[in-house]
Amino acid sequence: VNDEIQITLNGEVYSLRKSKLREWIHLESLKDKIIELAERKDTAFSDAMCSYVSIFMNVDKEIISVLPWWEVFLLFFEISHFNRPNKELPIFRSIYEKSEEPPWNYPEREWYSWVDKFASKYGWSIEQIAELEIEDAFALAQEIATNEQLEREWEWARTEIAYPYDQGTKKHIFKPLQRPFWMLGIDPKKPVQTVKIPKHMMPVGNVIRSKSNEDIVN
Amino acid sequence: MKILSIEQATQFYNIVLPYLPDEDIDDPTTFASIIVNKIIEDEKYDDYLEMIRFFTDLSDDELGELGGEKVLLIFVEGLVENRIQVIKNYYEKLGFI
Repeated sequence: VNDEIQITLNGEVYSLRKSKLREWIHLESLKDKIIELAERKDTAFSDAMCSYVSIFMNVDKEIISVLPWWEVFLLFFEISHFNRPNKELPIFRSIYEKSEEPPWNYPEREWYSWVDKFASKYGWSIEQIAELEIEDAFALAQEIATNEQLEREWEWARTEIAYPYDQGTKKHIFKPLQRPFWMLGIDPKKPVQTVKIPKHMMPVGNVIRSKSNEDIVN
Repeated sequence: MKILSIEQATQFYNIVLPYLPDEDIDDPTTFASIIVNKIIEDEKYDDYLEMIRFFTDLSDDELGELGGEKVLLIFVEGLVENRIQVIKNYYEKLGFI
């Protein structure tokens, strides 16, 4: 695992290590902002991109903002590629789950929710959490999320609503609590398989094709 | 020749975008001529002048004294030295289309 990157800037070589948790969360929020601004064709994205590079390299933003434009782009792409987590954890799939922004959201809430998660579970201080390696943070976050889900399932199984009455069988049948996407072992990036339907399962009768969309087939 | 910062390049990109060819063009002269021809076709001479201003510190009067061919040379050189041939690829990668 390569945890160090060498970047040459204005003739000076910078040896840089991967971001710790707090900086990583900050940079990821900034990256989302850059993409959002770019998609809106908002020229403010260039300032956000300079901030991104400047924070990671610990170099004044003024130095970055006067570099040739392509160098800033290349630095941004290189850093964001280097700074991504190495571990392929199933919990990353949770990003595919739709979630609406709750009304109690605020900037930097993501960071404080991580602090809340680790502080309440392990009793760590905010400084200790900020210095976590991102791989450790994600693996532990997955453990916390797994334990919470299994606990919820256990509690769910002990309630009446987990056993709805089935009219067909005239019995109460256990209905398991829905699991999050990443716990189901489904890869959302994998394309849906095409399944051939046997001929005998196709509709019976002549199929009359219309010559054009306007034609009505009786 | 002035080299564009990311802020200047973004402003430049917004102006040049309608004139950029759809396909990749390796030859800088062909690339520049496609842009210039499109500007002439659309009669957007203000855009041409605005883009040239990004590449030089010369005033509009000084540019006028230089003559069309020399101004065109500044424009082509500006496009080449500022790697405008690849600018679309970079911006598109971020969704800036």
